[in-house]
Amino acid sequence: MAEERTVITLICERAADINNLINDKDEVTDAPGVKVLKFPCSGMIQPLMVEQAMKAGAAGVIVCGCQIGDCYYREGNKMIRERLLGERPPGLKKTVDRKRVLALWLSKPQKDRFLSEAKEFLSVVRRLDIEESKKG
Amino acid sequence: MQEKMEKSNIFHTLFLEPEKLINKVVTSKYNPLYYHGALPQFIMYVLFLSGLLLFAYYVPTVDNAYFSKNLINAFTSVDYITNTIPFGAVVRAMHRYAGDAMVIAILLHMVRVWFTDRFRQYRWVQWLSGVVLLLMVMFIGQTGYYLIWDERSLLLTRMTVSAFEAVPVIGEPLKHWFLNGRNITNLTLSNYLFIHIGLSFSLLFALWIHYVRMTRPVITPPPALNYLLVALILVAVYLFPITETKMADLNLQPTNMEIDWFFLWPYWVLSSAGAGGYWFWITVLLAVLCLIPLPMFYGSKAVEAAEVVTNKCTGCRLCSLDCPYQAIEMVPAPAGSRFKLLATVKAYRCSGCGVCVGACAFDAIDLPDLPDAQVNLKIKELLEAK
Amino acid sequence: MGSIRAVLVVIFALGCVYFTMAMPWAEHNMTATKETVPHTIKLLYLTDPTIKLFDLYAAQKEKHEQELKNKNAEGNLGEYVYALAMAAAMTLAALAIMVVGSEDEVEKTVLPSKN
Ligand code: SF4
Ligand code: SF4
Repeated sequence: MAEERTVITLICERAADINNLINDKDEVTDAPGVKVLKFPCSGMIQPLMVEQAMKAGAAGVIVCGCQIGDCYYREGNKMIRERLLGERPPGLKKTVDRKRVLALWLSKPQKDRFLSEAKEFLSVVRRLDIEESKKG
Repeated sequence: MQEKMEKSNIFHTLFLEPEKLINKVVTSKYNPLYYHGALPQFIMYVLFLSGLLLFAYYVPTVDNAYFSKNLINAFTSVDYITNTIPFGAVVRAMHRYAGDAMVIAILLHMVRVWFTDRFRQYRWVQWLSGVVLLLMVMFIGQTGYYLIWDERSLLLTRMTVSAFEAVPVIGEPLKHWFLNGRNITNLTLSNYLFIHIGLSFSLLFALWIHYVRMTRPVITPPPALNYLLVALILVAVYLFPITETKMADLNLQPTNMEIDWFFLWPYWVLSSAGAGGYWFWITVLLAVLCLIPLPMFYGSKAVEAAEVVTNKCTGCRLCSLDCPYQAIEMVPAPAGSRFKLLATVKAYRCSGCGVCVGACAFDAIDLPDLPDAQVNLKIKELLEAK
Repeated sequence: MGSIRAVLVVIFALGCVYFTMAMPWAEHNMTATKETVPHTIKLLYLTDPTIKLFDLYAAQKEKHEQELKNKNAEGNLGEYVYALAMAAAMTLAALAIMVVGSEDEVEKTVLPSKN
């Protein structure tokens, strides 16, 4: 079995407040293997960053912004959502495995939802990893 | 961050909890708290429409020298609207309660914007124009109460005149402007009608300033919310029907009145504090509202504006289209460049949000705090650390 | 659509129709007869059920009238009741729309696979 690869979380610092969930290595304590990188706004996340994370060996990427409609900077979360869905340039490259990208839109108090989604996503990509390594 | 959360405990109970609940029940799509700015805008349309219907039958005169049967003046025309025109009373009541709803919606908007910290720095133009808009709405609402020309209108008119008279130097001219002459005449009501309607349309101009620094302002709530809003107004129409009032009589001095707390509270201030006190409190209130966005109260660090990497920018315009604060201008590229346009950031408008970074496929625009290169480096670090 | 949602939508829609029909009744000052039934209803051959509905509403008449009179309402009382019926109908319509619209997942976006 291949070594367990990391899931990268690109999160807006105003979205789900997960400060208490992560340890000093920026890893989600209850979901080891999920690491977190914070942005001033989810609108800053480029599809390119998602691609590069995958290229550098991430098993999957979680993008997290605030509830749609409540972006502090007005519409950052809508933009990255549309970009991921290919409705607004620049989009995600075709080669990126869409199954390994998850986008969440959670307000500040919703850290529990974040955790459960992150755990589920982690197990999904782990399964994908195993399947793919079997295929060769 | 931590102490900020503690400071805003009220915010928690006031907004975050209901917000969470509403999101659970109807999802963020229909959360009125996410349309707090669009709600007053929609109510404005309700007011415009119902106002148009009332305007069609309104006669702005005070003619009441003798109480003949066929007297036609402002009061009797309002009476005619109420009792004779089909649904006249309902439209009148809708116009009144939509006005109240407007004040409530604006206050909600204001409080939410305050608690979510969305009013200062690069948003001060919106805040100040918002204060002006609130002031305009208040005055429009008050003139609406003068127009009915019942005893309350007369009392309000006289109180306003007394407040104006107390203003040094320009008091007299103000009074003349307000009454459109030295005394209450037919011209006075024409003036009221002009202020009421003219100022209402000026709202559109003030709204333009309110929106000018925002790309794609959210100005329409989803239809379902609009239905609910109209339904609320209609319920108020049933619960608080229009009641009969007495025509103003210039020879009498009415002394007390029902107060509409949304629009007429300044008159309560006026009657309890006197003209001097009234101007004092109104000035203090306005000053506070206007000073709120001043940066020195917050000790926050200045926004680090985004920066364009001149030799990478291809002039594709994506960042300028997406910037939520109209902070990026496309200028002709310097001579010798391969491209036609170059993005330039107007630092005083920039919020440092980084949306432009997300929009640029060429890594040509960066936040000084967190450049692309650093993001990618951090991603690598996170992946390598075990 | 989940069956609970479907049931809710049907209930709200029926309620909306119920209150919408109260509007023509209230418009004629809460006294409705065969003659005052709206033309569209006649065209649809729905006069009889409509009259039955009107009879249902008629039970409310006194209550509303009393209520409005106590408040010294000016103008045609039926029109205030019309406003109330319209409010109820619009609220239910809004609720039905929200039930349908809030089914979509908005807190999570799963990207559709490309290929
Ligand atoms: S998106 Fe990038 S390349 Fe395009 S105009 Fe803006 S800075 Fe230049
Ligand atoms: S960071 Fe970029 S997108 Fe955000 S306000 Fe500044 S220029 Fe506009």
